[in-house]
Amino acid sequence: MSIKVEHSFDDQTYRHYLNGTLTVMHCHHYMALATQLAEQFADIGAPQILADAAEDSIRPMLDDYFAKNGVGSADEKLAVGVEYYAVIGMGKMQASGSEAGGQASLSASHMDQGWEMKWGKRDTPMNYWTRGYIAAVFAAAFGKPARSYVVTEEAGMITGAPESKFTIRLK
Amino acid sequence: MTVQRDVVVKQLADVRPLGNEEGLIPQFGVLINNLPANFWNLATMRLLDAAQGERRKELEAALVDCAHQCGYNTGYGIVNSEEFQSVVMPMVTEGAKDVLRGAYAVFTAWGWAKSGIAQIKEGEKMVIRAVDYYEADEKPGYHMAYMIRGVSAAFFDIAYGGDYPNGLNTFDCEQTQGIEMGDKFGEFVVTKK
Amino acid sequence: MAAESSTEVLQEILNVPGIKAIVVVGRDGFVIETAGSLGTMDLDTLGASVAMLLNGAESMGAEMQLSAFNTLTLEAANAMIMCTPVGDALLVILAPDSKTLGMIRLQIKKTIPRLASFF
Repeated sequence: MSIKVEHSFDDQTYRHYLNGTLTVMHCHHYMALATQLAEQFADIGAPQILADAAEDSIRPMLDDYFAKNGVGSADEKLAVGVEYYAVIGMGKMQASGSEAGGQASLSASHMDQGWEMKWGKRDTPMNYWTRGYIAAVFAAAFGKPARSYVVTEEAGMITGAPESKFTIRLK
Repeated sequence: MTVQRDVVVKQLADVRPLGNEEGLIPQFGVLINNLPANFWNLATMRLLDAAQGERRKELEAALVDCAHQCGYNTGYGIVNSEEFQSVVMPMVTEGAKDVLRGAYAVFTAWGWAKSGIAQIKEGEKMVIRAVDYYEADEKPGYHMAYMIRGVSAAFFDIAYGGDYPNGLNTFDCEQTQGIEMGDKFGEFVVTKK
Repeated sequence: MAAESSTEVLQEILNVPGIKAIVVVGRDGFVIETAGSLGTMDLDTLGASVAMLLNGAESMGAEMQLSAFNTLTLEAANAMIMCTPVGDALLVILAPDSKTLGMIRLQIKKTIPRLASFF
């Protein structure tokens, strides 16, 4: 399966759209710094805010894609979520599971590789954004509202693991 | 002759990189991502709403710093990219000033903000105006264009802050007007730190 | 007292009878600010055209060994366009005709120093 990718831009505003969703390019510096910022502001719950913002911004994009392209089954929806992750430059993901939860892994990761390019390895995983992304994919695939899934990053490439691994559990 | 922004914008607007077989977008010496703009707005707004008093001030500075470092590194990569060298540089006749005009044409073409230079005093001050930018899509009741602030300071760092990578943080940028606050345009003033 | 804004100065110019709209364009063609009635005009195209005009005028001036131009006036059957450098930008005045050209020139002369501090 290969998802449809249609770029368009508004020639008055020069805003760019990916399959109808307004998108914007940023670099690994921005993403790594935003992640570091989240950790520096852990006292206000910033890592979870980052994850929730990812979930809430990705979900409409996926729902819209499913509706426009007649993607019906949960398996197909998971597959679309996995492919979309690569299209937007976030890395190579594998995911499987059921309504109750599942697993996801990354063999390439913008977040981990970007952080490493900037600051080197570290001892703990930090891919909050992808936790939110995966939560959105599972919720969209199984027709659940936001915050239905708890996503935990069990291993991170940034710590030296060969793959980043996530477990997903229905709340 | 100086840099003609419509020439730059028209030639570069349809450049939109996709993830490679690894799902990564290596370009301009960095890894690029292409996320829903709404993610950045939601995250910024929710973080700001959660931070109070002194923490909020620290957060605002950190938000600008994210874009400042990003703009400095990626901006340098863009200015030295094949695209910039072949599209913009042939029109550069006024040195750094023209490179900055080209940089804002690229900034416009690639969808960060439809913006340009309103005033420039070389090495001292620059005023940027933006007539459309994604950071104005939410109306939180405060100025929220931290990305444009950071990137504008970074562009001036690249132009006048000394040799890369030592010029970072030479300049600072404040937002004086914002579409998100009901103004006609966003205005950003870059001055020496 | 709050500092004067460029928008306020442009509004003041717009009060001169006969002026329909004002556009401030950067040398690169970026439309920095507008005032008045521009209808459905494509501002990006207008900005690009003004920049081309400026470049042409400057090239001609250089070829003819003229000093920097003060004003460029274009008259058509149903419009008058006057371009004046302001700081590093160009002030473009649009009027339906040249009946009040004298008043427009006077107002521009008075306000250019104030506008120049913004561009």
